[in-house]
Amino acid sequence: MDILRKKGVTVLLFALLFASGTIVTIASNQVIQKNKVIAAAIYKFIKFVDWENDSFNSLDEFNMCLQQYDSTFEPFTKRNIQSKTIKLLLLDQKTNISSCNAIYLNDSQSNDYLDIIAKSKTYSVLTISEQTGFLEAGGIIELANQNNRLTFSINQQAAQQGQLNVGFQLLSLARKVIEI
Amino acid sequence: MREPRAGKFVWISSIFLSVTISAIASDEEENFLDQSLKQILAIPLDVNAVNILESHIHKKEEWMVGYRFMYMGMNGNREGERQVSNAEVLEDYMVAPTSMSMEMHMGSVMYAPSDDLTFMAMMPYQKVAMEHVTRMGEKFTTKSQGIGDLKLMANFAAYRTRWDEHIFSIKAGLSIPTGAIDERDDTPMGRDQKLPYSMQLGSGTYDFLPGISYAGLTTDWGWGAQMLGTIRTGKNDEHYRLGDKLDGSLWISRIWDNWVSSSIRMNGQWWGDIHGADPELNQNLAPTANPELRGGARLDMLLSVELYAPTGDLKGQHVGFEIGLPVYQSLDGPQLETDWTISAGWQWTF
Repeated sequence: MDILRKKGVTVLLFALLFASGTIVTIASNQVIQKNKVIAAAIYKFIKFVDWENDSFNSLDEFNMCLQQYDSTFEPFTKRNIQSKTIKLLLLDQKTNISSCNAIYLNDSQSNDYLDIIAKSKTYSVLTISEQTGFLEAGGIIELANQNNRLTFSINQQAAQQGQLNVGFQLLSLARKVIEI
Repeated sequence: MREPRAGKFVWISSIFLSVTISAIASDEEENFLDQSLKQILAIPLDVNAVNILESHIHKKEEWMVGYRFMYMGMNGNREGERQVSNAEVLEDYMVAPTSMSMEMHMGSVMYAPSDDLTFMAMMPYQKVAMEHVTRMGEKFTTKSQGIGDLKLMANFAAYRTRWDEHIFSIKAGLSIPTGAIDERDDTPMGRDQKLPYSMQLGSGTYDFLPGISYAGLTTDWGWGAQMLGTIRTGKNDEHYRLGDKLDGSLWISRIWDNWVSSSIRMNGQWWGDIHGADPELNQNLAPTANPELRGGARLDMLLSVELYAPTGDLKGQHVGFEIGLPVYQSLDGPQLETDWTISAGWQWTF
């Protein structure tokens, strides 16, 4: 084929071949930027919130609960929060909300969030979701997208009720804060 | 056909940047956790599915500079959908074009004064070379090079869903005639002859550039469509107006990770014949000088790979490679047919 004799095309084919090789090596790790950014932000959220109830201090592990599995949270398990190792739990019938220190409601198709918020009010649980109206429903941190960048809003009132002290690092960067 | 030295430099530079981006990508997941919350909030949520055709909208006060190298190879003539030999062309004309190469270096700048509006300016530098054969069997090459027409565009996000899963945008632009329309070169017919329409670097007219685009996104896939028109106005100083043009694209991208995606794109183009005529060109000498043999339609299939550095020293850098082959073309000919196109681009957002 004449086209293969063109030097420019040969170089391009090399570049495509190179890219194909790298694609094959990473094909098992199919996660998108949005999930990684949200996971990293949630890591900062749990870092800058204090759980003020006494029972929290006696725990060896910090339980991060997810509504559905997301591999982008796996690096959490290599980190510590307030000298506690982070453990990932899937929020299902086996996992009680009372065993969660933080919950990320990452199933946008699920309508369970109202039920989960209601149940979590009895415990000291940081609730996080992308659902519109999450704060008004009593959730603590609501995520949003503003022109391709992550933003978040905080319900201080709900945090206070759950004996959670939200740090100034979060309050200063939040887009909206529902005051006490 | 020899590829110019500048072209080789572009390819080598692009590949070097790709290798560097690939090397740093594996470490970036841990880097996300180590960044400050402020830095995390500044990372684009989606980076790979939105760069096709520069159709993306930027964040308020964000700048982007870019450079794209494009090369198009044309060989042989076509009349309608049928390929025609040089001998057939020479039955009606003294000179037949046999091949043409077009090299374009495109610089672009984008700025977003608000979250929903992005302004863009694009300035091309073109090099065109056309080979010919005469009835007497003599072969000769003509060349032209210089800046093309400056394009100013505005891209407005008319509708977008909460996480930008669906974005509809409206485009409006103006092409300013900065490219020459009086390029000349030596030919067997004489020294310093006016070159035909396809070798001129600009349109010579102010042209409106309306367009609409849609982009969709899921976890692993991106897709979209774009229509862009070119509506010519008036007549240029050489007494003609190029035909209007319609350009439509449909694409689908596979997002492999936050630093790499690959895409397949179908691009259809329709362009009309020239209105009026340059009185210096002899329409009976060569089909390239006949204003009624300039229109056509073409459908290309293009494959591309795009790489992006979300963090690290190369943060915000984006490179892409694309190769295109026509799957259909019908030309008001005899007119040179397109054989293949390649392009490589670099963008830096800050």
